[in-house]
Amino acid sequence: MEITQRVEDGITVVQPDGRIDTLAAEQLDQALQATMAGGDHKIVMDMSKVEYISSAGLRSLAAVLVKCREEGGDMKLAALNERVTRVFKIIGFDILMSVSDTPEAAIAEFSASAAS
Amino acid sequence: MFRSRWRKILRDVWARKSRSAMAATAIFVGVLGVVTLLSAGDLLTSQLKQDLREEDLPMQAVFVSAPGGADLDNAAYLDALGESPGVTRVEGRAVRPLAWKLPGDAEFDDGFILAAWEPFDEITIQPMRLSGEGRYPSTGQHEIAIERRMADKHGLGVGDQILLRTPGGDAGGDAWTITGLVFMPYPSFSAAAAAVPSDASMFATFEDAQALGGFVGFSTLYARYTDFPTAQEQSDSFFAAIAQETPYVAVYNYIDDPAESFFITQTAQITGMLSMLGIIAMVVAGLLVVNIVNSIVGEDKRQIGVMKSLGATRWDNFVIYAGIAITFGVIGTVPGVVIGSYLGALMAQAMDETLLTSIEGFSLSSSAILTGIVMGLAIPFLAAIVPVFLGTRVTILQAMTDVGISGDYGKSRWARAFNAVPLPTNTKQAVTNVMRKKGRLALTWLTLTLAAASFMGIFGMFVSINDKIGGLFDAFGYEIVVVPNERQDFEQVRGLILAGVPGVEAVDPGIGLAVELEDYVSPETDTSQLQMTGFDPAAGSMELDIVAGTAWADDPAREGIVLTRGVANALDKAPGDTVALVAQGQRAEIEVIGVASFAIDQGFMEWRTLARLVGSTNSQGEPAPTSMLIQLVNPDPTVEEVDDVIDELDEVLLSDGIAASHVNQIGVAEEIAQLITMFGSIFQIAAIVMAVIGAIGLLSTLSMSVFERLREIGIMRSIGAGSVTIASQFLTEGMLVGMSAWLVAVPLAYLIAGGLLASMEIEIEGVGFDPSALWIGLIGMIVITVLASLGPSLSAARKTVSEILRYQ
Amino acid sequence: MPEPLVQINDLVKTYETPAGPLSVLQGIDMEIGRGEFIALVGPSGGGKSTFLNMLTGIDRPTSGMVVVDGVDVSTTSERKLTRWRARNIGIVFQFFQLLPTLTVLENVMMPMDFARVHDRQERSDKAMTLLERFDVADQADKTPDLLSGGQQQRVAIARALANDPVLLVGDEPTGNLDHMSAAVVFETFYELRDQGQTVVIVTHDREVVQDVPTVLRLSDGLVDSTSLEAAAKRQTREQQATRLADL
Repeated sequence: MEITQRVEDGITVVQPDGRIDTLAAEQLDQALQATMAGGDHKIVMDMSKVEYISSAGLRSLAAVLVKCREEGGDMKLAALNERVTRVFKIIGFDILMSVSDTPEAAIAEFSASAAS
Repeated sequence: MFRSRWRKILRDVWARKSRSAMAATAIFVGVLGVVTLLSAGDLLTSQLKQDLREEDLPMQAVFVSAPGGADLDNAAYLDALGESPGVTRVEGRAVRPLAWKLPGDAEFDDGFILAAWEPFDEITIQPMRLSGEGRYPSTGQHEIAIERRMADKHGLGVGDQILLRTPGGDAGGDAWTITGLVFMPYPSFSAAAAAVPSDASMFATFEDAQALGGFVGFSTLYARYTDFPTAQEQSDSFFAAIAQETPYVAVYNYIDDPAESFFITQTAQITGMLSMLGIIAMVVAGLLVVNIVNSIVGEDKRQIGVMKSLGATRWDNFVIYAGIAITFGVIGTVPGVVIGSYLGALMAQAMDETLLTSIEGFSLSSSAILTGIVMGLAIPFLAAIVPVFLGTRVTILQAMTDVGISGDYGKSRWARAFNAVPLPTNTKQAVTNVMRKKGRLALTWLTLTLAAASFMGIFGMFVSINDKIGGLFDAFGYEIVVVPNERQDFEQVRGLILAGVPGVEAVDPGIGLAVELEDYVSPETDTSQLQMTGFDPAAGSMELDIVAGTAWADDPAREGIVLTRGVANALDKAPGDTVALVAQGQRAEIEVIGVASFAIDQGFMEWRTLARLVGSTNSQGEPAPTSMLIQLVNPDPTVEEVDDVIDELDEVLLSDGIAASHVNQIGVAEEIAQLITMFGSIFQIAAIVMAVIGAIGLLSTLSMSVFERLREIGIMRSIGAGSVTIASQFLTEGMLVGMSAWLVAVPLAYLIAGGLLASMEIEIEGVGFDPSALWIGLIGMIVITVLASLGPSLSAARKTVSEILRYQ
Repeated sequence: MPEPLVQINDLVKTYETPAGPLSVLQGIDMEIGRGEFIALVGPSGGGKSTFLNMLTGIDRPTSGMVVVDGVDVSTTSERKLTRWRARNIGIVFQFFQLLPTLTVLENVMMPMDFARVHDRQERSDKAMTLLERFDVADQADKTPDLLSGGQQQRVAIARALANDPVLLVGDEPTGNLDHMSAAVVFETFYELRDQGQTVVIVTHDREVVQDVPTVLRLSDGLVDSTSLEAAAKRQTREQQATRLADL
């Protein structure tokens, strides 16, 4: 699975491309761990190109979320498709973390909370 | 074919490797047994049927003892005998020992000369056939023919010379030339009643043979009748005619229906019995398969339910699980048939001499192979039918919700009564468990019972036989029997032997032949012939165990007969009664002077009395013994030591112009013991195989028990039961099954021993069942059940609560 | 209005126990329309599984009628029912119940074999398609023991759909899965509903059924035909939040 990263306004935007199955989840996890190791704890996950996420992928996101918050940062999700949204709702991740329609909106939220 | 079904069958067989291996192995053993034994039997009987042509076989054969030295008009005797009522053909034969060697060999080998009165190409009864090139020998040319198996063994051919040791001839042997090789499929017997080996058989004209063998008269007379029923009616007349028309003394007489030749029926009987073993092993294998299939179907309950929920019909499930059983069959049958065919051919070759035939080359028995295949596939299929039928009957609901502890537990009258008995809880639980899974345990129990009963029955019987036979030879005080070709001057020969042969302690007279005993029916031959032994009660040649009457205690020359216990009981005679003997066509009444304990039916008389009765006289008309009983100085010689003395004896006699047959008593005793051991071992192996299969069945039953009662074990553990408690419960279950099986097996063992004895037609007095077998069986059963129970018990004890919950 | 797929009239199921007769279902009247997604919740032992077994014909009612797609399941003979069930009902079990000695692909092909539909190559292709649909195609040649719980259950769903059944039922399908896997699996049922499949799920897990359109409560043998109350929903959400906060 291809994972692209860019930095915008000090926020790391991570965009996985494809299905986050068990194998890809590990790949994603490693990428995110590396990002955090580099000191970036403000992450936006651009999920516009993700068709499906496995339970391994969900676990990985949860772990990264906890780590980021511990370091004073946060992880926000954006552009979930209907399927992924449903899964999130079933687990209740929508209570846990912020889900936005677009990556820009998610980035904006960072600024908003920084400001408040 | 339905891919899913086949897939499931093959995958399931592979997934349960150890159980599949057990089932396949059991079937392999069964098929191997069946194919091997049936093949051997088929090959042997086929060969016999091929070689022994019905039209060439005699209907009556009489072994005779010739008077010594007299001028015999054999032609006239044969003519006279030919006039006997119903007789269509009479022929005379002589079979005598003849020592021979290859030029250049140091020592002579034992061999036999066979000659017919009739010219070679006029022999119609048991004729020989020329094999390959060559021709029959002519008289007076030092020409001889040898059996082709003798030629093969020693690399001899037409034109070669061999040296023959003739009585009164050159100690280095005379040279004779082989003119032809002969195939002689019919068995011949020497005067010592031993079968003549075909690889030591030589053939000459009657005249030449007389010189070679040192004899004048026949050793056997053969007769054919218009048909066999006539033979049965008239055989006694022929027997009497021999006494009346000839100077020969009839020693033994037998009649045999050529259509059902004794040799063929005997072979068929022996191999038939062995085949039964194979079939029993097959059936026991089937019982194991039942057990295994039962356990598989039980374990797969959920899967069966799931498949049903997916649309599998009962038939689909039946095909799958019966298919698993048949797959076991295929895996076991293929190697079983292949190896069995090979072993069967080997076995036939190994047994052919014993059964008086000769198998050459390797051949297959198609009937045995077919039987093996059919049984190898049919038995597992049949074994699977009931458990699969019952197991697939489960509904989806039952299959998916089975909890393991039956709801109606403990309700029956028995259960309630049993619960009132003050036994330790552990034992109670064990017994209750045994009773609950009745069906499955019943099978295992049955297998164990059968195995134990077979083992103990066979063991007990063979120990008893061994004992009796061993005891039999105790009665003989002599080690060697010498039967001169012609009746000799006893004192003269005795002097020769004592003077010339070292190691000889005594030479005593003896007579061995059969006479007709009125009202007696021999259990072996169905005739009224009784085997008679004449000896000198004053000498130490026979040591009879007299259980009634005084016999010769006071007077060694006393006239009268001692009967063995079997005969006395059959005729209801006691010392003081008289019996009637018919010999020489004449009837004589003899007083019974004693009853002896002896394994085989016999009659004993002082030898002179017997000699006079049967007309065994020398040229002076005095009683003459037909054999010499020789005691050695060495009280306990080996077979080889006795053989050495016999060699010396032969040399001494031949130098003096006397030819004789001899029997090594010690050798005979050993051979018989070996034969019994051989047969006994075969049966024992079968019984052990059954025991092993029974043990495997018990193992699998108990394993299944553990599996099914995981929840119970979990509950027991959670209330504090320790590993020992849990293990001991399963151990107790196993022991219960085993011990109860042994108890029931005890009376069965007696039955089996009795049945075996009856089927083998062994009429040995006093043979029954040796009780030591019962204790050995008990120990064996304890060992087996402990071993079989140990695995599952330990496995049950090892299960932790978390393991159990995880599974549930 | 189109004919309902399932019609249940006065369904009663009573068991005989040593302690007296036990009424598990006490007279249920109900209809299930085509394409509906229904979740049946309720306390343990309330009869949910029994109800489902009535729907599939695995169990028979003591009285009353169950008609599925025109077939009276409560009275049809076992043999006919087996054949009918193979082609019309897909069942997903709590413990997956995949056959351990067959591969994932073979497990999915099995119902097609038993129903004798399609030829050999078609079955294999169709099975692969189903596996792809549920994101387990890469496990096709493995035996079930090598898959995670969530993967196994998705294979089980694929198997249940092998013969294009009119009705898909699940008996506690997420009961043996952790929350993450349960969510992913349950989401699958939504997708199937989107594609027009009629789905009936029995579960005691309140979290996963929050957005199911029709949630029925079965307790004391009767069906509560109202949906979960908003309050109950809120409560559930709060519980969920608490649990997640502990992460």
